Amino acid sequence: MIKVDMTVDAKGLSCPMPIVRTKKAINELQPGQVLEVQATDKGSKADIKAWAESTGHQYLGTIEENGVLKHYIRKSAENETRKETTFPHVVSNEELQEKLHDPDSFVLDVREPAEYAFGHIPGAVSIPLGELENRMAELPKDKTIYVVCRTGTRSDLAAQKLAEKGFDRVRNVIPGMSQWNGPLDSAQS
Amino acid sequence: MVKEMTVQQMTEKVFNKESLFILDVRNESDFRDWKIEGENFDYLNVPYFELIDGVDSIVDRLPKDKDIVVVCAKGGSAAFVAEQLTEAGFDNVYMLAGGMQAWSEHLHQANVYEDDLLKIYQFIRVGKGCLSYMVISGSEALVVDPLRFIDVYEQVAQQEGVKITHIVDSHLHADHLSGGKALAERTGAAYYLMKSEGAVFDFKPLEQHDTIDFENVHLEVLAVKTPGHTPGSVSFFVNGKWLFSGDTIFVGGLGRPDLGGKVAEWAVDLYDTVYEKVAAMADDVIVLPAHYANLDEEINAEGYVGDTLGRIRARNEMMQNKPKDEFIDLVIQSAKTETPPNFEDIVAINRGLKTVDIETQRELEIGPNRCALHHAHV
Repeated sequence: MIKVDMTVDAKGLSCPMPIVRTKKAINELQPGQVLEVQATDKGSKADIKAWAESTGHQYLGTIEENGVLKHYIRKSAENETRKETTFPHVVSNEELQEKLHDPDSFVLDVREPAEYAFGHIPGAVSIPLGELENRMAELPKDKTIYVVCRTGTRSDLAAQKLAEKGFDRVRNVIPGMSQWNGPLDSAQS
Repeated sequence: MVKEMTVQQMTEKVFNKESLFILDVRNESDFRDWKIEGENFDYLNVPYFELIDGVDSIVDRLPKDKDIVVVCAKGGSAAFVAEQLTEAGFDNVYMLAGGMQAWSEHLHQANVYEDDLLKIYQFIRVGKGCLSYMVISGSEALVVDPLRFIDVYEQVAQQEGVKITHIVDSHLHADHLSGGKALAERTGAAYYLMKSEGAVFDFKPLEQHDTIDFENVHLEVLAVKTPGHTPGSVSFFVNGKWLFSGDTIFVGGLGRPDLGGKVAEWAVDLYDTVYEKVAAMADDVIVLPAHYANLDEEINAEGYVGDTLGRIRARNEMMQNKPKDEFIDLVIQSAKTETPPNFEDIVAINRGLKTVDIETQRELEIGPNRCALHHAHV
C-alpha cells in the first residue's frame, strides 16, 4: 500500500473517462499531494503519463495489481523549480553516493510515500516532509543525516527544521532524486 | 448526434484514394508509432486530454470543405471530441467506430482470381499490412497464413458453400498471431507447417508433405521449401501459376533473414532459395505474399497485393544474377537488430508454448505496422 492523499476509481471505464476524473481530482488537491488513479483500461497508462507531461504534474509510476492499474501522480506546485537553498550544509549526489556504505550515514527521504515507492536510495528512511515535525524521534542524533527529496527544495526545508531541533549533523543533498544515478530500490518492476 | 464512420467505409476511402482529414486524438507517441495511412489524407494529432475542457484551441485548424474523421484507440474519446465539434457547428465530422483497435482487426476481402474450377481470395489487414488467403476448389477450401480473426474465414467458406479442409502457415510468424491452430480445431481441417519451426501442438509436418492433396484434381499445391526468412519457410505453389510466398518474396523486396540472430547462415539459405528454387519458376507466376509495406505502391490495378514474378525480379537487383558473396554481404549489411515488438511472446504463442486471453492478444498486436517491420528492401 502506498499512502496517497486522494484515490480516483476509474475501474471499468474506458477513455476519456479515466483522464476526465483524474483532471477533476487533481484540481481539488494541494500542490505536492499525491493522487492514485485506479483504472482497468490498459491504454490509461500511456495516456496518464502523457497527460501529466503536458500539464506539468509529476507522473510517479504505475503498479499493476490483479488486473487493476494504479497510477500515481503528484500535483506540481505553481513554481516548482528549485529555489535558492538556505540551509548552508549541502552535499552533491555524488558525495552522498560515496558515503552510502559508511555506517555513520543515515539517509532521510522526505518525498511523498508514492514517490519513494517508485525509486529510492537503498536503506533510505521515508518520512514525508509533512510528517517530519511529529516523527523526529525516529531519527538518530549520533549519525550524519543526509536529507534527500526530488530537487533539493523540500529537503532544504526539512534540513532547516532538523537543525532547529538540535540535529547538528544534517546535510541537504542537491539536486536529489531527479538526478540520482546511484543504486535504487523500487516497487515498480 | 455524432456521425459514425465504420472501418469498412474507412477502407473504401483508403482504396479509392479519397481525400480525408484525420483528427487523431490519441497521445502523441501512439500517433507517431502508427496511424491510418491514406495517400490523400491530412492529419492533425491533438490528444483528447487536451480537449476535455473544449475544442476552441483546434477549431481554426480544421477544414470545413472536407470530411473530418476523429480517431482514437477504441472509440470513446473520438466520440467525446466529435460531439464537441458537432456542437461547435462542424457538420462534416465523423468518429471512427471502434477506433484503432477495430482498424487493426479489419480484414478487407479482395478477389485475386476466379474461374469455374478455382477461386482465390486475398484478405488484406489494412491496419497492419498482413495478407492471408483462401483458395477454393470444388467443395474444399485451403486457407493460407490465417490471422486470428477466424470467423472471417468461416463466414466466407459458409457463403461459398465450401468446407475448410486444409490450412497452411508459410512459417512461424513473429509479428502477428496465427489463427491456424484455432481454425483447424474449429473446422477439423488438416493444419500444415514445418516441424522445424518449433510448434509443440499436433499438426502435419511439411517436412513429410511436398504436396497437399485435394479431392478435386484441379488443385495442385506444392510445398516448396524456401528457407531464408526463417529456416522453415515454405512457399505454396498452386497449379503452377500462383506462388503464395509467405515472407520470402514480397512485391517490393525479399524477406528479412535476420530475425533469428543468425543472419550470415540464413542469408545463404535465402540466396539458394532465390537462385535455385525461385529462379526455376516462370516469369508469369503470380506472387502472393504474406505482407506488404506500402499499400499504395504494392496494390495492383485489380485491387489485390501481388505481382508477376517477372516484374518483381526486374525491379529487384538482388534477384538479378548477384554473385553469392555479394548477395550475402548486402544482406548482412542491411541486417537490423530491431525485432518486431512483443516478438518473443508472439513466437511463444504461435508455437503453442503459451496461451493468453483476447485482451492480451489485442495488446500484443496493437500498434505500429509490425508486419512491415521485417519487410526489408534488400
